Amino acid sequence: MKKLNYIIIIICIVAVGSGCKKFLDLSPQSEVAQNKFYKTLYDVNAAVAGMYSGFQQQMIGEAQYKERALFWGDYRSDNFDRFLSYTTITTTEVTMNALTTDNEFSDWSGLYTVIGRANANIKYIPGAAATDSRVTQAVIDKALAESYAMRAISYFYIVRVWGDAPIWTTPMESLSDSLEKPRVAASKVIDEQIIPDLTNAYSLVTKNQTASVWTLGEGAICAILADVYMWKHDYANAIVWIKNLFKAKGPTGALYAGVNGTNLQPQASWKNLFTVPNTSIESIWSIHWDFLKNDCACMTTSWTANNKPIAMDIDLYNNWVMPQTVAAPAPVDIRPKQTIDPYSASNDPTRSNRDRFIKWYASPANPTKASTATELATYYFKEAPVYFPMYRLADMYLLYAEALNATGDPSNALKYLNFVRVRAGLPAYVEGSAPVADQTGLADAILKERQLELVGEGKRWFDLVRTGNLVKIMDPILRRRQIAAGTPAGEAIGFSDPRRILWPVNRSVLNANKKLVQNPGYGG
Amino acid sequence: MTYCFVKKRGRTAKLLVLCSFLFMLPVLLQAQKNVPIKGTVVDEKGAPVAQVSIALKDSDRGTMTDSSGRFSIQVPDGKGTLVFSAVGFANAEKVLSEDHTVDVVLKQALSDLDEIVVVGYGTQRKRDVTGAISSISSKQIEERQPVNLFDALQGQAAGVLVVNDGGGAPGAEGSIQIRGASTLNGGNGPLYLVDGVINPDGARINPMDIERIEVLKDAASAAIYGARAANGVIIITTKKGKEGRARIDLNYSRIFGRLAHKLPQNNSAEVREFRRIQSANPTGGTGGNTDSLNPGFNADNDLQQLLLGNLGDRQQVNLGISGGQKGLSYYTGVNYLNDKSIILNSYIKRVQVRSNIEYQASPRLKYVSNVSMMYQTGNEVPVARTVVVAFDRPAFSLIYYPDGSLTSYVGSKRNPVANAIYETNKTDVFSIQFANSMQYKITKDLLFTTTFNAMLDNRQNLLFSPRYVSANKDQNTGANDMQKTFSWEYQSFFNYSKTFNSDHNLQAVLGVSADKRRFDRAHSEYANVVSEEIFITQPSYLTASKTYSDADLTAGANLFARANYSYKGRYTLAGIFRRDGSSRFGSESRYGNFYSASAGWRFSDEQFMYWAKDVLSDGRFRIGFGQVGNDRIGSNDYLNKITFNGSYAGVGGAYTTPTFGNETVHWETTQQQNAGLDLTFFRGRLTFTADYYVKTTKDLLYEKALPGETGFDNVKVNIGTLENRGLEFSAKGTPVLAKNSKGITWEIGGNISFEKSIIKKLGDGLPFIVANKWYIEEGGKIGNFFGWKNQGVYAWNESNAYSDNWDRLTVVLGGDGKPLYENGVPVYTFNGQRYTGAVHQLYDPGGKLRGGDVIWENINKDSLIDDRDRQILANAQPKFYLGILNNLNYGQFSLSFLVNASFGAHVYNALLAAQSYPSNTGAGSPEMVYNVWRKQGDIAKYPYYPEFKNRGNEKKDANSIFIEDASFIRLSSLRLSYMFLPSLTRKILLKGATVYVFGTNLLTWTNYRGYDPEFSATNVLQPGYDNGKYPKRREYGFGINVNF
Repeated sequence: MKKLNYIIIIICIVAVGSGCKKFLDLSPQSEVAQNKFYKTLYDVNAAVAGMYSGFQQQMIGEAQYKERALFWGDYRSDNFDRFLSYTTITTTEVTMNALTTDNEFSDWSGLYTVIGRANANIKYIPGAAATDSRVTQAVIDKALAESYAMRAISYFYIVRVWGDAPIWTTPMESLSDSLEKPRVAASKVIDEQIIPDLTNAYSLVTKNQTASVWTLGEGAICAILADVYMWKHDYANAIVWIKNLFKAKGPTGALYAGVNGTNLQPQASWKNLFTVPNTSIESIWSIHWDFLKNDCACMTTSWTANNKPIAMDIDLYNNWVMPQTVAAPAPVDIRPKQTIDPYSASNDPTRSNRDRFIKWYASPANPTKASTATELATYYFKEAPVYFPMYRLADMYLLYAEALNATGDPSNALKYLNFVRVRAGLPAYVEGSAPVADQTGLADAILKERQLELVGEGKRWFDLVRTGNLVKIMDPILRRRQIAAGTPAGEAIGFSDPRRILWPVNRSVLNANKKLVQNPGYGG
Repeated sequence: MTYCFVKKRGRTAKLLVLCSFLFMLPVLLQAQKNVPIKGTVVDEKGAPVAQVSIALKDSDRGTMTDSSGRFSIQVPDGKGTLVFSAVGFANAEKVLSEDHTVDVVLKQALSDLDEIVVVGYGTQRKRDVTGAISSISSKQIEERQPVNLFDALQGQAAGVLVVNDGGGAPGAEGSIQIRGASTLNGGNGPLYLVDGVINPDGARINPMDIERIEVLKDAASAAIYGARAANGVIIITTKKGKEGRARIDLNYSRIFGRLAHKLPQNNSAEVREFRRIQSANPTGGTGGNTDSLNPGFNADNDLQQLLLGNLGDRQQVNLGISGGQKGLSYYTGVNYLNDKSIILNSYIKRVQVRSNIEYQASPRLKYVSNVSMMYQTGNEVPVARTVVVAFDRPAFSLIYYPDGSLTSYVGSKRNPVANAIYETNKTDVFSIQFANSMQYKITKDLLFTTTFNAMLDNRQNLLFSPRYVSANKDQNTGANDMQKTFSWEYQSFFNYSKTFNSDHNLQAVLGVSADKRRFDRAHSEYANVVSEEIFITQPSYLTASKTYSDADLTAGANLFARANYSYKGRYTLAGIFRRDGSSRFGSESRYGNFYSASAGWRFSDEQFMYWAKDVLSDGRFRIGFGQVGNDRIGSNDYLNKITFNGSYAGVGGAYTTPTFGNETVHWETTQQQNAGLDLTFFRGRLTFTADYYVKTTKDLLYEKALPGETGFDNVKVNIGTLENRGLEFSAKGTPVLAKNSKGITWEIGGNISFEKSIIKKLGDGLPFIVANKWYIEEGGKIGNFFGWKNQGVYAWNESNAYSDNWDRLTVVLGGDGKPLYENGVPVYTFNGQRYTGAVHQLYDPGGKLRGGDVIWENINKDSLIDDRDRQILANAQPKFYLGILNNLNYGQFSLSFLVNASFGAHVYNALLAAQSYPSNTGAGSPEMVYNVWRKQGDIAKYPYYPEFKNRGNEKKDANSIFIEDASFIRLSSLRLSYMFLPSLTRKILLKGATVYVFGTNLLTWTNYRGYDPEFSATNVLQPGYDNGKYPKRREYGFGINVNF
């Protein structure tokens, strides 16, 4: 009797207790283990899209008011100022040149996330050919070219914003790797990482093809290379790559050519560059946005449900936008009224809509009065996409002009400057007369034109740094802002420390990597 | 050894069925000759005592008395001794005589040493327990009239910090932390077991169904639950039916509540004054829109009253039916709750049913079935749309149009009344759990138990915000969220209990368990639907970017063993071994072994203590050491995973998750040493327990930040050490004991707990800041607020003046009341003496500090107030907390009340900060209106308002001026009841009836200026941040209990 019981128990325990080891071996239910990925063409396409998506979230923002393209490229400049009523500590720091290591935009990790995805793609995509015959060499080359170029543009942002930077060229695979890498000199990052990646991408990309404006094709690679060489002040190479760009085809299938003003988007449809860049002969690379998938493109300069902490700087607004609101402005500039809403509801200049950027939307320019609420609602709404232009031909024309002027070819430089001016409705500058009489005057005119043409496109800060005009231009602007904020005139410090051209490295970034050294000029 | 569950669930089920059949075989072979013995059990007052357990000595036979105190038991040949035991009574023994009738009078026991304590996979007598265990009986619970477990437990046990959010949001719960935080990662809540079955949380238990609660505080006792017991274990035993006639308990209570207190708010005049403060010209005309013709700006509303000033009304009905016949007993509890909050349109309704059935199929085989179901529905108005808005919208903004309809946005502030009324935020929860358990007595000493339980939890949340409340009354949005959790658990274990030579008692447990949990979620959102009558997601209106589904799967497999040895109850020894496997870890580090050992010494039984017997009835010393584990990280954090997220130009993206997969991440282990002393004086008139413990968590599961350059954000690692030391005392006494039924009896019990928790070691030794407010460092405490110390406001521009040593200089004022200048420089004194040295001034990165700017403590003594001047400002954890429970009985009256208190905690009053620094259309706070710096020379508390964003004057979330002492003493409950005399109630066919009045949250003494200093935090690293919580209500109610 007792024996029987014990036998039963033993049988039960053994049956229950043995079983399989697999019980605890559960695979993830909402993600996929990495070793089961990079197997098919679908995986390759998704991995490339994931990389672009990372860059898109960095530039335009993963949430409202996170458009780093502008925080890094525009908001610190004379184009923008804080909107006092709604400013935050973050935006005050940015616009008052009072950055601290706590500023969220001083964190470079997001760009390194994009670099990490590019690194993974470069390492694993070629392997997918073994498991899916549709992953042809052409597919691999295209994906690799885009990954190399993406890695390069990400490093290019890092170098321009923070200077020296650690270099990662392979995905992190193990905790035993040396995860804390020191910063490498900015010049070395450019010469040994960015330029080789871009030339590598250029060699992999199929030439002379109609390119998608949303991805990094032949034209975009050339444009980035030209931009990089301009940053290095290596004008000869910049000219080489701008000329290579002219040999490439744009999204409409037409060559960029770069011979005259008609290679630009026509004046009448200038807005198309922003609202339908894929139909413009001028577009080189724009960031795609889809409300259905990416939600609201809620940049401070686009539609948003909330009050904006950033607005156009009052000087730029008064000197450039307001003169265009009279019945017959002289000279005419088609851009300001298509960039920002120059009228307040009551046509009262003191109650301006300096925060209402309409550049990204197809709303028409009203010559003498504010857009009606209905009209605004038609174009200016949450669901409307923002196709943020990274590079376009007018940008390249002006860079070309800058390079030509620097290398002693003022007449060609002026030619390319005038292509952009005339398209804007402004009279062409005359060679040899003011303000373009000498090399400096011409350089200043080009810089000014870049400011007006590309306002809100994340270029101005880098232009000021590249041309060495930053402190000179920002000092009086900052002094004005400091006084407006209550500092007695005698105590306003202006730009103060010129080492503060670079951003500080975010404290959490420094905490996570003990080998990093803070940029000079920033405490703690 | 490796052990595990069988591969397919089907196979398991078949095995279980097979096993159960095999067990029943011997049952059929049993046969006995029995004599029925009958009798009644009464107490000293002659009242029948129900639920007395009656056991035949040296056999496995037993029964219970019914509600009339009657019992019947079959005794072989009618010979032997019956042992009577019941909670609260001293044991009695009766030798059976020839007349086969036994009437027993049980004496009230003052000592609870013979109480049976549930210790997990078995029970022990309290006198044999070697761990630190607190017990709470149903009597203690019922005296509080609790709505949930948190109500029931608060203040009842030492070392158990119950933060009760109840009385706030309808259905609000709280949190329980046993002996301080033991992990940095995931929840610090204890493990809940209801009748031996793991429950996700205690919130769903109807407190009226609870027979008793045991809190296993130290690892020596909790180790039997190994992996999940790192934060202690709460064992809940629900009521069971007893053999005899059915007993029906009906309880109805109704409670009315009001906002416990109102916070100061600006009225219309004050808002206008605030506008003036906001403008750069504070002495100019009255700010704000004063257009006397615009009704939109000429109201004077008390939003707090409108929104939070309603009468809370809670009705609760409990019905308990229990009883049994030979071999079968049942208990069914039904609970209905209808709780209307003090906030408009905020309510909860809940029905709970629990059914416990025990079937003694044969003297050896018992089958137990527990089924519980709950349905709950409620609408909650989120705090962000009520409390926060009520303090942000100016009082002068109109709430109702003249025609009675509600306004929407006025001056870009939403109307919280309209939002509360028109918005829907409805949550329906349906959960069902069943547990089937079979107990088979293999021999007299060996019991085999096998349990299978499963639980389904279904939760749906509907959100809808109609057009009416949108800014232009043209947009609506909604969301539909469905969550389903299904889990099952299987347990099998043996209990062995034997007494050798009457002095040596051995108890042992050996068992295995396995469990699995699957979670699914489907979330969809939509916008601008045509009809606002229905709340479903339709494809045409889908907000695709916010629509997703999610799933999660985890499993565990465990082996456990425990042995207890007791020699005459004088020396006790216990040991536990547990081996746990968790699917959350990689195959190499999946299993963890946990050990515990403990010992007890009843020194009062030693001969050398006999002299003290008259005073010290019982004295015991306990010591224990134990380990428990924690696996609460993400389900597959050991793997590098690809997530499918993001979309670019029409192609869905894929990339690695931000968490790097760490194959070596393994169990976090909490070790605890405990020493305790239990003393019983004057035969139980006074008991005293003290415990000292050191709780050390090693290999802390910790989300370590990776250098961003790696492309990953973090990795789960085992790093760092956390230590909690604590001292707990509890005492219970009966200062006044009634000599007869007319006298007064006064019982008082209290407990106090001191806790100190220190982060001993952090992975890389680097401190870090959590959410910009809390500083975590080696040697530091959890909950340290980090920021700048506010020392007031510079009265004059000239007040920003410091000596070489950065001591503040005093401005000397001239005859005109303005700073005195000599030779063009201001005159200063230092320590009353004229100061002639160099004068230094402080700067913010944004410029030199001036009159109206905040004076910050200059920690590093340089000229700049920057990040390096931050310091630890205060801590959010209480230093000690206590509870005092009193019971007074006089005849048929009884009065009980509980006082609980907490000292030393601090709260960041972020609601006041937000109220004081609103957007430029906000209402502001009276605090700001009356204490702000306006002009040179003002001695003020707050800086010049138009400059608060300049020169670091605000220091949001890091400004010591908003940190407040959250110590409090609260009369948290009081109940006065009257029990009708049984002779009276019998006339109306009732067995008993009690009526009572009671109140909760009656009085609170605190200096905290927010609604309530007590609230739970969702994240262990982020305690004490009050950014607007549901305010608590003060409640008064009445109730009636009747038994049939």
